[in-house]
Amino acid sequence: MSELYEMGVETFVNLNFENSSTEKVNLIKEIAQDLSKKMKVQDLADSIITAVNERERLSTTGFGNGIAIPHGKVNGLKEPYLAFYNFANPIDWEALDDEKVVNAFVILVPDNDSSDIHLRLISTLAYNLMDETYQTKISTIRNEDEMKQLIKEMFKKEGE
Amino acid sequence: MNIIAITACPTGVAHTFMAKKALENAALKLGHNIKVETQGATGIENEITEEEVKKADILILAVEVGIAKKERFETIKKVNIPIATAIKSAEALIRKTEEKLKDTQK
Repeated sequence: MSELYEMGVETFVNLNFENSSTEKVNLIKEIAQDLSKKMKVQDLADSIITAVNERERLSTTGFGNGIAIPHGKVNGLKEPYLAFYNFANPIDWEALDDEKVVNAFVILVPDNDSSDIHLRLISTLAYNLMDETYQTKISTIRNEDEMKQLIKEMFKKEGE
Repeated sequence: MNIIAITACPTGVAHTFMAKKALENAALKLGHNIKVETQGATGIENEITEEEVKKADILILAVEVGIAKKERFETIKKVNIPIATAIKSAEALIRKTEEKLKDTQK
């Protein structure tokens, strides 16, 4: 799925994000505000919060190994976004393995997107995050360009 | 062993693919062949063929929803497990499956 970038998924990398909250719901607010600022469009923080929380209520996206994949279909968003966060302060995410979350991949797509791009982003990520090599890299890379490179690589090797 | 497996979960995305990778990792580590079909929100991917069913020793069903094209697997031995088991303890699962298979072959 190297077409991820050809399809124009805007990517943000935030290393050592100084989160003031370590509790999921408030943390999601912080991320939403941060992302909305970076997107340089109208204020979408509230739409992001609604979409991500709606998904979290179904079941946690803290899939283990300190990594979460919060995601949602956002009202008012014009294109898909993928953002990586490394948190200065670990989050209680009600993760499947009860570990605190220190890294998150946030996936946001327009709510009127009829393609299955968000599903493909999530499934590819979920698959690759079970790979120990990727797990190690995600928790050790602390350079923005390297992280972007790693994300690119993960989406090139879907399923194979 | 030649293992075939199907993963599927209610929301159809993350768990399905995490289970796929976990099963592949475990099989590879223990020296078995495996092919994992996913029946997720994006439909059937990596579909198991009739030929592969014939060659397989066991079918692992890590599914929490009804699966499509069930008729392919009428004759093969099956192991049913919750998808969380595939994600959390795939290795133990495959070891156990191997032992059981050996017992039935005695």
